[in-house]
Amino acid sequence: MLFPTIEFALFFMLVLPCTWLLNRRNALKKAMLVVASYVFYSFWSIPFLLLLFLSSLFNYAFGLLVGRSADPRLRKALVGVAVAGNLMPLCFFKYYDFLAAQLQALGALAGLQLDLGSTGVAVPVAISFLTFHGISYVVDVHRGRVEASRSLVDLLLYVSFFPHLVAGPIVRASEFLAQLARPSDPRNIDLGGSTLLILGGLFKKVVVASHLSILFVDPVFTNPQAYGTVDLILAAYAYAIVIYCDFSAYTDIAIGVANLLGYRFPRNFDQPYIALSLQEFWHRWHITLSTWLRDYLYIPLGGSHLGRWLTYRNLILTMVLGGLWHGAGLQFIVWGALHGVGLAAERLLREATDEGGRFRRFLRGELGQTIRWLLVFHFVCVAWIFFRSADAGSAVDYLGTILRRVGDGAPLTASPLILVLMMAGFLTQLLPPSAYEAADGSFRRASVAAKVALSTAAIWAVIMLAPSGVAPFIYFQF
Amino acid sequence: MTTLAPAADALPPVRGLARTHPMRGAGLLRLGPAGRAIALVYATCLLLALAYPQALAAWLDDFEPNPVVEAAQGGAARLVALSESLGIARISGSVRDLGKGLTRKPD
Repeated sequence: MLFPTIEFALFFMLVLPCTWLLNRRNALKKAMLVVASYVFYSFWSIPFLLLLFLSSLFNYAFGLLVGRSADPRLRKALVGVAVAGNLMPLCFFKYYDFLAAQLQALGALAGLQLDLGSTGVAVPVAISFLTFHGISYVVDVHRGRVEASRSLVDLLLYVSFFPHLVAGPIVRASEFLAQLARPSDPRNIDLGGSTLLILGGLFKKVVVASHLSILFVDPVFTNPQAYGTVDLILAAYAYAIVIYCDFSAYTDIAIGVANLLGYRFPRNFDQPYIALSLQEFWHRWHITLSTWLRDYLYIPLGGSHLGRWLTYRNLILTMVLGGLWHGAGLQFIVWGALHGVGLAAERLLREATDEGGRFRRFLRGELGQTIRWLLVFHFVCVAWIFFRSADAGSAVDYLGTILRRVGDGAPLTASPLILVLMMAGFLTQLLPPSAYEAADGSFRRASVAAKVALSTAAIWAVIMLAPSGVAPFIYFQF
Repeated sequence: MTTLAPAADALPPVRGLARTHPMRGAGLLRLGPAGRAIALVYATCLLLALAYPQALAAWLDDFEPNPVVEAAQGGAARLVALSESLGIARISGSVRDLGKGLTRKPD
């Protein structure tokens, strides 16, 4: 069930009043939300509901075991088992076929014929986000950041809550479980902000991302040889906009929907393409993933406390694993490695130059900032080419074609509509926060009747401009 | 004057929807924040169904026929008729065709 569909509208029209009618009976409300979330997931797969349930049960049990254990060594061992247990389904469903194929290829190079078979099943939707939530819960119990949940229903809801279940944002147990302890306060509903997030998300996904993908990005990435240099470069920019509009749309709608139900989710995007460094980019892009990787991977690896070279290693390793999380393919590893090496290089440059020196002063100036922005944005776009391509070879081929076809006079296929959509998509994240605050303020002050009129008009306009059928969100595959 | 307050006395869970934070300037309904959220979602969906009922009808046509679907299709047909009588469905249909033409994939 996708957010911008009639199915979801009907589903939400049922869940929203039920949630508030049961608000004073908190236990019943949470049970109802668990059932609703399982119904939501069942639209993708009924068999994998069992995986969802068993994963929650497993983490519930290990949370209690870790929470009750006084022996630090036992707690550590239990957390290790819990983390491994969370990773097992992910490795099986997502990485087994990839690893088997790589080993078979290596075996063939060595003259060995290996038959490692394949799982023969599709990767369950949301398995990565399921894993993230499970690991963060048991590790946070171990670290004492959250108490082990004594309520199975709470944990079932934490893992399966439908707004974040499929593609995030990644919500920490400490943030969410505390909200389940008592009935939601309806005064915390930010009706104006939530509505704007949902309307903006629908526009970004249905109008900008869907059309740009269908009309331009998909054809160019499928057959780059058929296009000239300018089209190839424009398609790389367009994909940067598509992935931002697609993914931020999902999390914006998820945050808005959760808030209408009385729950708060963390922010996941903050104008990522205005970043002046890769470090800043990762503070603005998929914030809940980058902080997750920092807290559960980078810091346990030693973070920046083991000396300069090990810090670089940790940065690169964290980003490579972050890339691998996105998909079982060399292209995702390269994407992660590019970001890891980039982050390490930035750190090296910072450490090798004097804070008050001429070079750093130049970088802080207007020209320096422009150069930094250009470098970071284009670095991110080149990395996205790997992320979007079917495999690493196709990405290299794409980049090679850009260079090979310089000046060959290939006709431009990007229509004015594509350029308008790109500009609209770019504007959605370039507008200063004050513009959003002004819109939010006006919307907040409007009467419910005016809000209804505006929402209806905005969604009607989105429907009028929508392509036939809406493709799933990009992050569903991860 | 219609108000949810008496209903709230009769049905305790509704109290949270109706009690606090009256809707500014409306006077017709006295809704709390949750009630306003529900009213916004329902009113928006209903107006959209009236503004572009063709989408709802087409969506229902994709289901295997059964008594529930047939009843829903009957309701959708009435909605289409109402929207057409108001001239809204025709406007939406024309604008949708324009939108499709504007964003058509080149041959």
